[in-house]
Amino acid sequence: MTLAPVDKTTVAAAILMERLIRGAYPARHSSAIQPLQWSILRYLARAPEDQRQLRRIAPFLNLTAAPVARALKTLGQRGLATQRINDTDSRIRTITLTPSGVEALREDPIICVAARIEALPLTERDRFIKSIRSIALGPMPEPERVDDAGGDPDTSR
Amino acid sequence: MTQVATQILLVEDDPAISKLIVQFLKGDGAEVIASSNPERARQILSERTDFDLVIVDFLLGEVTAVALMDELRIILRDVPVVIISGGNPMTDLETTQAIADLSGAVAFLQKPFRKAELLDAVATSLK
Repeated sequence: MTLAPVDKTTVAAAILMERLIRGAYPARHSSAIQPLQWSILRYLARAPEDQRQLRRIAPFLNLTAAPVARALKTLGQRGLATQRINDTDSRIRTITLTPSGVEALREDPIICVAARIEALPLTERDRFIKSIRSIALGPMPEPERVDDAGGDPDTSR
Repeated sequence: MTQVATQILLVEDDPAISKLIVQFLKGDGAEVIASSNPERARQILSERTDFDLVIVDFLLGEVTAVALMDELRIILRDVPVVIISGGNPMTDLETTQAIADLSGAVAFLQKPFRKAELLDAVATSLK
C-alpha cells in the first residue's frame, strides 16, 4: 500500500497509540500470555457455547485455523482453557475457559488501557470513542481472506 | 389474556438471509418488519417507533451500519440493538464487534449462526 505524506502530529498520535498498547502488554517472556492468546480468552469469555469452536474463533480473528489451534493448545497446556468433544458430532470440540482462564482475564492488559479511556472526562471520552471508531473504519489494506471459513451455509453471507 | 408479540425491526441487505431470519423470529412468535437498506429503515422509523428490538447487519451494501446505529440511539433510545456480521473487506470480525460495542449494540452475532443462537441473542437482549 502506498502511503500519502502525513502531518508529523498525526504520526505522533499514531506513535502514542502504539506505545499505549505496547506498554500495556508485559515483556514477551515465553511464559507470558501472548496477544493472540488474550484475544482468544476474551472471545471464549463472551461467545455463547455453540460458537466456542476453532472454526468460529479463527474467522473472528481473521486468521487461519493453524495459529489459532496452536494458541488453543498452549492455553490448554497452561490450564486456561479446555476442549470437550461434542456429544452429537465428534468432529466438533467446544472450548471453555477454566476457572484459571477466568482468573487470568481479570489481569487482561487491555483493561489498563480501557481504564485510562474511562478516566477521561465524559465529553472527551465520547469524542475519543467517535474518533477511534472512525479511524477503525477508515481506509486500510484489505485483510487476507480466511481459508477455513466453516459453519452453517444458511446465514453465512 | 393475549400476549403481545415482540416487535422487531430487521435491517439486512441479503434477501435470502433476511427471509431466513424473519422465518426464525416469526416461528418464535415475534412480529418482524424487514428492511433491506438504511434508507428504508429510516422511512419505517419515521412511521413507527414501537419496536422492542432492532437487528442490523453491519455491512449494508457499500455502507456500514454505524450511522444508522447512531440514529437508532437517538430515535429509539433504550431499545436494544443486535449487530450481525459475517465479516467484510473493511474490518475483521473482532474489530466489527468492538465497533458494534462502541455504537451501543447490546449483542453481536457472528454469521453464520443457527436459529437457536439468534433466538438466544434476542432473548438475552430483551432481558
